[in-house]
Amino acid sequence: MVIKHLTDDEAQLYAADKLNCEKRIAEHIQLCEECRSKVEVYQLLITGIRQQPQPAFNFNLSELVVQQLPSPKEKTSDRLLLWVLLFIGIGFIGTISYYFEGSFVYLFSGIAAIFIYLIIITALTVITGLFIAMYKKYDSEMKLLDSY
Amino acid sequence: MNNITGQNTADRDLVDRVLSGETHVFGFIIKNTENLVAKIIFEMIINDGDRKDIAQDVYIKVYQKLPGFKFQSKLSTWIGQICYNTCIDHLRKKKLVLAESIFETETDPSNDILDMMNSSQGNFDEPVDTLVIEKNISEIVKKKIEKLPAIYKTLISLYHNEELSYDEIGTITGLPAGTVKSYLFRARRELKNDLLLHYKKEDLWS
Repeated sequence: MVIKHLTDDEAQLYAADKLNCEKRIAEHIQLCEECRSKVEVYQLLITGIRQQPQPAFNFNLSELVVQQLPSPKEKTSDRLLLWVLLFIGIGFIGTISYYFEGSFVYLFSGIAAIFIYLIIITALTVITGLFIAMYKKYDSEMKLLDSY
Repeated sequence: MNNITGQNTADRDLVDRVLSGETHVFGFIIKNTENLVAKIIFEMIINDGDRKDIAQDVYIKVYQKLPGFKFQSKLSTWIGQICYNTCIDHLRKKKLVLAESIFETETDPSNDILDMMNSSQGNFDEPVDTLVIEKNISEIVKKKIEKLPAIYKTLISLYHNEELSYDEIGTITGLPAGTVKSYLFRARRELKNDLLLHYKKEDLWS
């Protein structure tokens, strides 16, 4: 009769978690002294691993980190400022449009519609690009300041 | 399942409070995850001074990245991932060896050792704890673990001490769960072989 011993991985599986091990493995271990010996060494090893002391920092990490965190942002004041700027902007554009409506119509009356669209799209693209670049710069500078 | 959901809700609550400006709540997150972070750092970084800097660096990064956390894993697992990557970056900067190829042979020399050993068997039904001199085996294993490469030490610690699943360890280390399992088998085999090369089996049991 040829006895097929457990593989090393099977012996480890049994040693680490015998309750969830295949029945075949458990039965073999009960009968085979050689495999049982292998499992016992692994069980001893795993016991030794689990007995290792819990590593811990010898300083108050929580306190150390929290005092380095940036103070919370005043979100409400930021938003208020944005709304004020938005209203001023709309008011400014409205006033200009009201007083110079005739001039605008005269200014663009001689130009083909396609050129007007081209000018508007180009202007909007440039403004958007500038705004994004400005915001990114602002954001990176704020992050840099926060880290100090 | 409920436990995971509960954990997720608690994580979400803490994260929301930190993001709404309650920075002191971040202290609770640190307290909750400090053990895991300590385990990873202590296994991967030898220098004590570096450990302190890295631990702070990890949580500063966590704070900065917190708005981007999507709750696709437990908060602790995500923090563990940041910690592991920070340690890897540190080791790379210092050009330290992460994983030496100590597991070159796939053969199992312990089989020969076992054959040579006196097979004095203990009572198998009795728990191992009652058979060993606890302090002794703990110290012996500690010395053997210290000789392992950083990544294997970390995997051993996360699996056996922190009791994380293969998937969770995989998320932290960026390794597939199958690779984590395979590395763990190799690490334990190496430890066992090392143990049996230096100690007779009967010396390990009282």
